[in-house]
Amino acid sequence: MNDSFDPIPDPVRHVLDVQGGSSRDALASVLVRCALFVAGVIGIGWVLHDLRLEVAHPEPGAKKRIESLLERAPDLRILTVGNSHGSAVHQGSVGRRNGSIWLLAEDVWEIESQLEYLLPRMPQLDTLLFTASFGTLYHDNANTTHPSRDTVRRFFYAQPPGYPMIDGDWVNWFEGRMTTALVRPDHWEPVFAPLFAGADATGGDAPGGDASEEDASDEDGTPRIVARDREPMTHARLAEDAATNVLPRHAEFEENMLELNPDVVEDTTAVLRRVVAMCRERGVRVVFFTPPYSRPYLEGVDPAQRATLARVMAELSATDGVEYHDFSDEEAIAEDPTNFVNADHLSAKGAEAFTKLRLRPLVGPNAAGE
Amino acid sequence: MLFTSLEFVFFLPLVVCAYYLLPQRARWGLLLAASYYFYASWRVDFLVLIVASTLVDYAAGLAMGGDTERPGRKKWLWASLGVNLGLLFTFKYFAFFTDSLAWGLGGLGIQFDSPAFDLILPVGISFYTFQTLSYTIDVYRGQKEPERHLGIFALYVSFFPQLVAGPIERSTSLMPQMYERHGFDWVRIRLGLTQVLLGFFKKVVIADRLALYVDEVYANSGDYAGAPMWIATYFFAIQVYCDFAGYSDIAIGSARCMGYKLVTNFKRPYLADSFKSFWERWHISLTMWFRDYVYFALGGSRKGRLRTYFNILALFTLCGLWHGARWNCVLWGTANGVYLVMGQLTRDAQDRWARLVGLHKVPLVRKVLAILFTFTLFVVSLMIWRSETIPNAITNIGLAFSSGANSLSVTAPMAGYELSLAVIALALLLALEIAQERKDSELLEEFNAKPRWIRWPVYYAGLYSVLIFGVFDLREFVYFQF
Repeated sequence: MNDSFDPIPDPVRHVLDVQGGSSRDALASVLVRCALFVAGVIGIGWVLHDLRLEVAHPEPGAKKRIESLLERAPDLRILTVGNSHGSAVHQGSVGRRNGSIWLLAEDVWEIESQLEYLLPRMPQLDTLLFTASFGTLYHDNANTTHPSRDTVRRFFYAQPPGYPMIDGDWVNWFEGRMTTALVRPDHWEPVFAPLFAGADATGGDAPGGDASEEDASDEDGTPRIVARDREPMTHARLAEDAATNVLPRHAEFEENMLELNPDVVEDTTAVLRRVVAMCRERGVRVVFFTPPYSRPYLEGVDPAQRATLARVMAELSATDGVEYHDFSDEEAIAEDPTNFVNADHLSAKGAEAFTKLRLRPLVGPNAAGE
Repeated sequence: MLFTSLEFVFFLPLVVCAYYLLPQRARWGLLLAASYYFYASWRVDFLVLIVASTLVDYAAGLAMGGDTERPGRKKWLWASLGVNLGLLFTFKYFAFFTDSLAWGLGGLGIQFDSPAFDLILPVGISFYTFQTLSYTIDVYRGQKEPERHLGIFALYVSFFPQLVAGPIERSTSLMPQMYERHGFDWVRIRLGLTQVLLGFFKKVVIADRLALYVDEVYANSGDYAGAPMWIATYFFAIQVYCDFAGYSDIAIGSARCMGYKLVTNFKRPYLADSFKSFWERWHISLTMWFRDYVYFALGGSRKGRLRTYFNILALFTLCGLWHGARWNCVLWGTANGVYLVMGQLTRDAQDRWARLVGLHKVPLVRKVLAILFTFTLFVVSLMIWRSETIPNAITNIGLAFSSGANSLSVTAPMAGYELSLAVIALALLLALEIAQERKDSELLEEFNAKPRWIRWPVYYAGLYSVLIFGVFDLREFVYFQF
């Protein structure tokens, strides 16, 4: 027996019922330690797995989408930004030299940070399509108690290429970047996924809608918001969704935001002014638009919210080179319930119809089929 | 089966557990079966060659016997040399020889069509051939009694931790260990596993990551000139070191788990302050083999200065040839021989120059400069090795020394994230190597003696560094081509 061997701790020795100084003693000690070590390995793996779920935003394909956009950046003429309502733009119907960088549950600070990075890399950009939903002016991911908001902000930092940090958001920035280093999405699958195959789960409670990789993307890989199930959408289902899901959630969200930051509208407006200035410096035309919503949603949304958006947009579009178009009440889209996946998001069919109807004429006669 | 594959991660613990569960008399059988299985996992027909080599040398050893006065011993030595070197020549050098002959005769206007044999180079043939030859030569010289146990001898030839890429072991060192009883020693096993983990880190975190940069630059050398070419070649120097040293660590660590002590193969070669020192630290088992069986046979340094320099050049040219059946490798070897000879010739001049510029007053500065100079000269020779052909090597050297005005930037070959990781990992390795150099001791053994609260976080960090930051495209070890 090797003299360098540590004896088993007494409690463990008692449990294992071993007598001191034997090879059985030695083997038991080794087995206990190995088991503890392996437990540590699994424990660390589980922590990383949970971190990955934090970073594994409901849009798992965001990283690839952004990388694809960056490859095409020097050639792009039109860029779509915004939150999940950016999915209202059907990229294939706008023209080939177009890209989208909208991310689920983005706020305007994140959009500004994206544009600070992207605009210098898009010398041919002439139009920015900015989706302004009714909730855009009330959305502040850093200033909230809702746990999913910090997740969104961390996810934003975790994305390539490493957008500038927003307003001293050190903690989220650090966690987002570290999480990328520790839980590389492209590395997780081949190395870790087999270990966690049974326990894996997609995303968390993501605000703003769901995106699934399955069967949900435009030709350029831009994902679609998809329905929670495969049943055909009807007016009745839209009404139910608006009444029981979307409207209550949005109302709670707005209340939470205003409670934590009564000046949130002024703050987001200031950001939008900076975005406009950034674009004007580069001669980029800014087209704000509100996408079509279902009738039940429109009828239930807070009128004050609609009025605030209209007021702010009117103020911004008083500047040269800035436009605002309110397509929220687009009858041609709203009359067909299958144009929607839920009360406030267009389906692929609806996005294509809306883009051809309203956006393609807006962004220039040569955009389509270019 | 690569060391860095999932199969090996399961294979090693299974073999080690079975090893300790079996009685001593059965262990050689287990290891032999495991070694043949390990080798056959590449190609089953490779086994034919290693078994043939084993049987020939076993018979030659017995025939020569222990009596150096016995008549007729030399023919058995020649038989062993003939068979082993013949196999090596056939599989590794035949095409090189015939192509070179065709080229040479073509230059003289003589048409010669080199025969096309599509022979796959058996993995590790250069290593186990040298290992078996060392046995027969030692028996011939009377330095080793012939081994009578065929199984033990076969295991000596095929021992899986060092079979395919060394270290090249001597029969006087490894064979006696096969008769020793290795008791279950957890501290030793732990040390072995730690060394295996270090080997994995060097290979998949450093070597395979740097290979991404090196391959990109050398595959598109026309787009990279100046700094990127230099950086790629420096990276290649580190890649080949971490690749080979990483493999050696895994080999030595694996053997250690079963109580076998293999020779240290690398001793921080890039911290050498002269080429003499460098080749005492780089691939030590090969250098010692060439010294003991070639250099001394040529007369060593006993026949005057000129003959010594000739022997050195011949030795390193052969060493280059061993590294690859390509004229680039031969030239690389010769270049290193030239470095060594020049180092000896200019030793006094170097001392005088150091005194002239005052470096003798600052020995640390002199040492650092000497280390950097030695490393850079080795890197320049590696440009020859890494290039596809000699004209390509000349072009690449030219590109390295050009201004690089139209070159892509130094960050073009690799994503910033990957490059940052590579630099951080390199910095860690350099710190470890400097610490080991200063203490001139095995830090791993000292670390292994530390309490658990120090060791376990390092184990976890190392393991997850390999899992998270490792490049797992199962790139073969560079030295497998030998």
